[in-house]
Amino acid sequence: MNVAMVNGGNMLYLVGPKNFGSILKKIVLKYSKFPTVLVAAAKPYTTYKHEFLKLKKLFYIDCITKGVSAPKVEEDVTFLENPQDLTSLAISLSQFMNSLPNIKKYVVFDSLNVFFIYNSQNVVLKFVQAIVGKASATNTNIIAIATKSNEPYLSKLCIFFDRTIEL
Amino acid sequence: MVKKGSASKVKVTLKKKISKERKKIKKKISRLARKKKKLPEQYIKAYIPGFDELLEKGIPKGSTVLIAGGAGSGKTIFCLQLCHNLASHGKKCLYMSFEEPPERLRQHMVDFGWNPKELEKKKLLKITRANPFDIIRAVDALLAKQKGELLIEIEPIILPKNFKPDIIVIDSLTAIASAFIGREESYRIYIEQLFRFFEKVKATSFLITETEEMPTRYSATGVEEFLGDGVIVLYNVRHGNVRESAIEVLKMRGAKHKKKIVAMQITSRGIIVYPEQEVFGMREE
Repeated sequence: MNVAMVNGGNMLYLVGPKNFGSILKKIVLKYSKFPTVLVAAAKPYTTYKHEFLKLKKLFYIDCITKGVSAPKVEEDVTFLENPQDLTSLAISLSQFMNSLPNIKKYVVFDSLNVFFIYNSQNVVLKFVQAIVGKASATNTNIIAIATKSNEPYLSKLCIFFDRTIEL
Repeated sequence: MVKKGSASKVKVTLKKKISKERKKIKKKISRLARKKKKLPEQYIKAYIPGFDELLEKGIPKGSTVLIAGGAGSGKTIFCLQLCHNLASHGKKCLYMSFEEPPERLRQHMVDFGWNPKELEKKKLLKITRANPFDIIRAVDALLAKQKGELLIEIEPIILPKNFKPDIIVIDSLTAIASAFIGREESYRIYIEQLFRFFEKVKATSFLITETEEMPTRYSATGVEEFLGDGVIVLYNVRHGNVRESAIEVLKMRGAKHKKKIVAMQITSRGIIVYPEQEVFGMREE
């Protein structure tokens, strides 16, 4: 399925590990015409910034860099300690969601799987439910990517999204 | 059918009646507004971003509130910020430290971008240091007075001369309690006297107490939270290898408040409370 053909609502993309990079790129390019936050949990934001240099409405929340080195302060990046810091992540996302109430916005998660490595399943599921709920009330759509696997949490994740797309 | 002339008469009478009623209502409104102005201020706001949203109207004036929390939860910062904010709104604030020296507390305030010296100059803020062992001497005197051996009036804490505070912070009850080790009964008597003293001076007081990370008791003996009008609990919870800050208004006599633990951050500009944000790390407890 072509990423560009899918529109509207909160969406969960289940992708194979080989397609991960290319699909994320397509998703970010598709949605970042609108103000978009890319939550970088799988790779540091620098990896993406290099790729999306021309996208002026794209902001980052980096959950990796601060854990390994002191990051350089940049206007379009918020650094979190690590993917365990879900409360700070929720606060940062809420600030973004509340900032432009009448404008369509997107939050893209590069990988939801990473959060399950750092946190218990119930905590992540509650976090996702809270974020998707908040998004619906603030003219924001959540676009999340997770790699396909047999993990039981994937089926539980699906219920929070309007559409699940397997690619 | 109604004649044209009589219809216009009815109109005029109605208009007169309406304007008469309007005047009456206006009078009533202005009378109420005047009455409202005369009413004394019943609640105080903390002006800490997000915190006041946890309380419907604020902290009832004259209350004694425990600020409880584990190490690093932000109790001192919370109280310094409270003093800074309220002093900036014209309230006289007294911060009595039994632990850190005033210079260090002033420096903390400066680090957050506040200007304690200016408030002190305006006589709106006073930061003093007291010795917990002086309290022991005061308690001995209090006991002697109870037995009738002493006739002079003894106060559980000595307020600075010519300074009648609206707000008093005691940092901390835990430091005072530590001076009473082995004399628990005397401590209880002291606490009782202290709470009575706060009632007498009519100041709104905030008493810091050190607790465990996830407390089940919020003070040294448990009596303090019973005597106190309010308990605000600050949390610094470990979640994996990160720590998350949270805050809760556990009790506030005479004030409606949110009954939930919400996220809080200690930023370079002080504490920010997120009244709608739950704390995910606490879910695993």
